[in-house]
Amino acid sequence: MTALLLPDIPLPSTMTMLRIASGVLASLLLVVLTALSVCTVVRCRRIRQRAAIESHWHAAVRQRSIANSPIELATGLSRLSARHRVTAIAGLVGSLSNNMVAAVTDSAELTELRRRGDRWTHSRLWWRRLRGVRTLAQLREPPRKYRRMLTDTHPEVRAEVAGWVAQEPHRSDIERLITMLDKDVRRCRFAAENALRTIGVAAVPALTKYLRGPARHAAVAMDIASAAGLPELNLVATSWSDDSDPVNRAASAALVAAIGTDQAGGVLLGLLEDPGPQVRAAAANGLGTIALWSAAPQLTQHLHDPDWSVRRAAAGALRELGPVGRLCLRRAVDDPDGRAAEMAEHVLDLPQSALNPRAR
Amino acid sequence: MVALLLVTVSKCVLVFFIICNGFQTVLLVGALREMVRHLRTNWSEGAHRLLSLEATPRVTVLAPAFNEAVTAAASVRSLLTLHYPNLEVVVINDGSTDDTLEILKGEFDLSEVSPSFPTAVESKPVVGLYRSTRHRGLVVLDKVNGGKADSLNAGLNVATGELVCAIDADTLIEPAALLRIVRPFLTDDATVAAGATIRVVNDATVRDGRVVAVRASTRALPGIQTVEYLRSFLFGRLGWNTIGGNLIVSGAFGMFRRSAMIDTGGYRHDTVGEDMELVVRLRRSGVRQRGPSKVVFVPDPVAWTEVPESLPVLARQRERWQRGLTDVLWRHRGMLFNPRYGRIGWVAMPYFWIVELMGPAVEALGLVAMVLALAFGAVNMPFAVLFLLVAYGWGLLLTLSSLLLHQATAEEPFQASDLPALIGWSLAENLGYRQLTVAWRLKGTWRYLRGRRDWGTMSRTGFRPPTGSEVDHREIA
Repeated sequence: MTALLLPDIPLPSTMTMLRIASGVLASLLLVVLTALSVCTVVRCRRIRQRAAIESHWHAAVRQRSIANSPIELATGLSRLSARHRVTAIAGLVGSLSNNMVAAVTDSAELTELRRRGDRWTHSRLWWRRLRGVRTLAQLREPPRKYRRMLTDTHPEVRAEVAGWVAQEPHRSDIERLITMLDKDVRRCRFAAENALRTIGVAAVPALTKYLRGPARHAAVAMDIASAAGLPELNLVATSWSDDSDPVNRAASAALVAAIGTDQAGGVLLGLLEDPGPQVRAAAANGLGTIALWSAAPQLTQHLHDPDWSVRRAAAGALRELGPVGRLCLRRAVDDPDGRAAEMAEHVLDLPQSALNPRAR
Repeated sequence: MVALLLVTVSKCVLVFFIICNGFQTVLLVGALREMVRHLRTNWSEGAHRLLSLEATPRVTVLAPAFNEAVTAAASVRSLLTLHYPNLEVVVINDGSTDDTLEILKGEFDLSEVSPSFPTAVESKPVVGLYRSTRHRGLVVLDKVNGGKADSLNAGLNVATGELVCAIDADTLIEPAALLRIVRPFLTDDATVAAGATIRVVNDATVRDGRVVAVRASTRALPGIQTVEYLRSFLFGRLGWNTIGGNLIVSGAFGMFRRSAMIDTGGYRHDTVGEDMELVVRLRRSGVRQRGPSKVVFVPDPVAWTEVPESLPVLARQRERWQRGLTDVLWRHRGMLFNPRYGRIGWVAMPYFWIVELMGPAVEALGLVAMVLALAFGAVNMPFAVLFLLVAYGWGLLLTLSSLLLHQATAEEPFQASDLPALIGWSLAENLGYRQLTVAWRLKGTWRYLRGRRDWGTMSRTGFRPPTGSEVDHREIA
């Protein structure tokens, strides 16, 4: 007799269930296989199409730039999805002059794309609004009508708009970016930071005002301001040098060095004795940046610092001081303190290109 | 009596099968949701914009190398040309006995410098430190052989980046991969590690360290592993994003917060599952200290790796993976059903214990029971056939669904001409390959219980160079 596999469950219903399950699975497999085949064929064709259209575009632009003849929009462009039209145009206009961009983007198809992008920015769905912003930004649309979206409810949209308005910032935009830097979620803070860096010198008054208050992200703001390094930042930079947070004190050292006033040396020498190792390291780096050769003895002393990063910064700064500093390093190679000797030898060996580990 | 025993075993296997495949179906649904969210967020996003951004954190790529003379130069060259604005590459020569170091010295104008770096984590002694006079971001470390984990720790000491990307020396990374995998760290301070999709490079055409033509393999082992990897990464890991239960970041390509790695002591030397062990420890430590503890899988950055092409090497690899898994789960058994760890403790850990660790034993038991039942005449044959069809059919559906997800979303999907092979390998996976991996995994668990801790060896065949007619598969098509 054939024993039932599951004698306590009536065989017919179990078999029925399995038959149903196998039927459902077979149908699903068929559906998935069909979808797989169709999807593959369609996508591969579209990818080839896109490549061909982009190639045609490039040829047309080259022709225009040589012969100064009107560009005809690639007829195939309208067959692409909105996304691929946007990326095809965006990929091309990035390498063109403003006049050429105007010539390329001033067409019926792209006007329609702009209108669609504008419609998307009013959608209730965040991802459509994001799409709208990206479309318009990549078509080089000025952001003035869309500043309101800096306060959008979704962080991805706010972040995207932040990058966009940085191209043509208004004073209120900069203030809004500072608020974003101070209070918003990480995604937006990163975007705001980048936007402020892009804006550059124009952001300095707003950054100075921010740094006069209880700035939550003072270190980031000071780092942004370091790129400008303007003298009007000197007062706020110095004021943060005795903050309770070592991260802020270190950023203050970097900013003071970037500004490079006559008083910078005094501030940095003071910070060189800070209890925080990252502050001492930043101060040492700063002394190298302003090439204060009279700081050589103090920097040499810090070759004995218990913290590796401070020793490295001091050695690097000495090397940046030129002959005076290099002499100190060569003497330190024979220092009875093995750590100082090792660091001096290491930094003397480094190729010039590897000297500043934090340089980009 | 025998029939009763077989019945009981079969019931258990049936329940287990429902749990496993059911949960994996839930992961697939989660993966779909994550993919939709990911595509919406990244719609037409110019990853290239990050190239010009000042605020991008420095990333140090750690590339351990042991006897990689065949591929080292090409790999390092491809690393140096990755699209990332603030990049440092640290190659750790782990006491190679071939010409790896000499090749690197010649190719990259290395100049020896007196070694000096903080020793935040322990590693075997460093024999030499080299900087390139031509590439400012390239550092080569020569050290006493100590294994991959030890090499990564040595690299951690030398690294200056805020983020660290650990790879294998023969991993090829897509140019924009770093720009994409860095994203979770820029958007969420709670992120401590991120993983990405790993694909099989064996039959792809590589030129100057870049994959220029992708083809599905016509050989069984690489072909089956291609679909296996797609399934594991695309729906396995992506699905876990929804639940927050990612416990693995592939050792071939993953990114970590350097400070968190150092705080937890870096990679452990005494396990072969060092990549998973680190991730679990990072999560555990992050939860305890209320620091960053999130592990995210990013579907679109791609790294390519060579997979075993022979059964003995594949067997050693899978057995090692299982030993590593067993070891990690045992070390961190305190997280199991521990409410302190939330979903990791209540969902992720139980899944790995039940499905990944005990799964091979249950599956083997089910197969043995089926064979015995047939031998004893205790099995209703139509039932057994239907059961097997449903079991393998469900698995096949999951595999093909992940292939569909890949084809629908990848920037470079497989060509239509590759589909028959891929579908064939998906079918073939369940006819022998899966049973072999079950046996290897069982062996791995058994060896762990017997105390085996080493790596074994893998032979490298190198990358396939382009022939004259192979330029870009799109141009040909």
